[in-house]
Amino acid sequence: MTDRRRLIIRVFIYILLSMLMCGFQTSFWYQVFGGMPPPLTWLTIVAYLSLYREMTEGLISVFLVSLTFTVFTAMPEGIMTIIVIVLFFTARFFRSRIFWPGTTYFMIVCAAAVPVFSISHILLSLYFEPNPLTRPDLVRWGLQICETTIAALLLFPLYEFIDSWTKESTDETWSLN
Amino acid sequence: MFRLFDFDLKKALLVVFVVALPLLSINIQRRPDEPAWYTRPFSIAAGYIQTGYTGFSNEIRGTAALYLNLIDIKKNNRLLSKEIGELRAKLGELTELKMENERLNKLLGFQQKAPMKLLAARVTGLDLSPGEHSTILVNRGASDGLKRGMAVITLEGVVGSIFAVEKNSARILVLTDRYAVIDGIVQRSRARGIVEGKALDRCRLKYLHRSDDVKEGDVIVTSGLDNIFPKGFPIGTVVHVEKKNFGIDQKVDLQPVVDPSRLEEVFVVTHVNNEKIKDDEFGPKPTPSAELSGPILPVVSPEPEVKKEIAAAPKVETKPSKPKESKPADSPKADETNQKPEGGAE
Repeated sequence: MTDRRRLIIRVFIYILLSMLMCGFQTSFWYQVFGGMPPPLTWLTIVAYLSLYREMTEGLISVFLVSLTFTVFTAMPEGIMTIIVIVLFFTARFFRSRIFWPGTTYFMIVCAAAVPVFSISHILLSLYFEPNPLTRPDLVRWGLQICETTIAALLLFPLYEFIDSWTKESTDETWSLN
Repeated sequence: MFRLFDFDLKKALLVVFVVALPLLSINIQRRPDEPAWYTRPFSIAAGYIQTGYTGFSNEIRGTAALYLNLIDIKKNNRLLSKEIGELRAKLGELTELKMENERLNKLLGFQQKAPMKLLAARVTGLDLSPGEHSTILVNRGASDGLKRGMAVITLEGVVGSIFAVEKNSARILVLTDRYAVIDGIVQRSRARGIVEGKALDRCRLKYLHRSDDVKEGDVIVTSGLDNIFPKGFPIGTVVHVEKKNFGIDQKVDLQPVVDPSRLEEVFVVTHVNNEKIKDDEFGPKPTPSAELSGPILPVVSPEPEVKKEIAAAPKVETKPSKPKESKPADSPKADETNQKPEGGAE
């Protein structure tokens, strides 16, 4: 299989996976656990694509998965896409400073991504929306950080498996640029 | 180490292009009226995925409930039977009240309200970001006749309105979402305002004048002016009124009657037929000194037939009543005339 074909399959798989994650979070979790805040499983995909992709492929991948997120929420597409890009560059910035491969690092990044997502949403909402977010829900944040960290622990092997099947090598070509 | 002038121009242009696209597409005021074409395939796929998850989760819930509820089945059965009996008795009373209401309406000459057309729908999903937005997905769509902008209610009150429709699913903007707006009035004083979503469990009634009468505990209902929501349907209850010493308006916080996180089934109003709004329906007509650039409230002129009836009606002259001398023979008759119901209604 050529590299280009692998790339297309890889991107397509992650788009499909993002839709399944969003469906799990919005339908399955709500039906089974009711009003309990769900884990941000879609955030783990953004974190993984930010950490384990080259700049071009990573940016295009997160841009495409952000389009899948917008159909599950009332958040405007522009705001969602900007938040995802902020998460992308923030993760890459920290990866360039400190990194070690493995599940632990991925869990830490996912846990840090939850408040980054919420804070950036509040800031964008204050600037762009006529009726902005005013009060952050800190209890919800805390619960989602714990749940997303556990979800990252369970999902990281799945992402590694997909990459091992669709990539020639892993992590050797990563660069900040 | 970074070298400032040693970079790939193509990659830089790609980064700028990808970052600029969302900035250009941000809708500052509201979401666009129609969803973008490139998100339609994702919307359709999302509907099927969420429906699949709903079915799977229902199986899990059913299996768990079967084992957990075996103990309480008999007890619940007894309680439910008793409740059914009570509800049947109440239903009988309500039927009587309904018939009496219909008779009184005919006698007073009100226009007969056409019944609402409702379509039941099941909630299959919530918003992806439930802390910041409040939407629900239902299992009905364009194939069932749903359209964007249709109202959604439950038996308790208003839920919201449809803002995105696919073939077999529809996404509803709940009234607690920050983008939701509903025209509402205070049920007691008939003061009119706009209900906007504020948080997951709160709404705000805005654009009330300082002089409008509203207090904690008041019920806010739909005005029916938009002809989207049925008139008089409960929206929420006032929990806090903030009136500063300066300013022309007051801020009112509402507790919605419907808890969006506990919705399982809703009704979509596919057709609503509200009464014609009268001149003084929402308060006295504004005086010329109060008008700024035009009438503040919508003015509905009476129909030509009504105008003719008013013109043809005999003028009744009211004379100042003289204090009556007390006559024992007259007082029983006066009491009898006062007690007779008007119009012969029984």
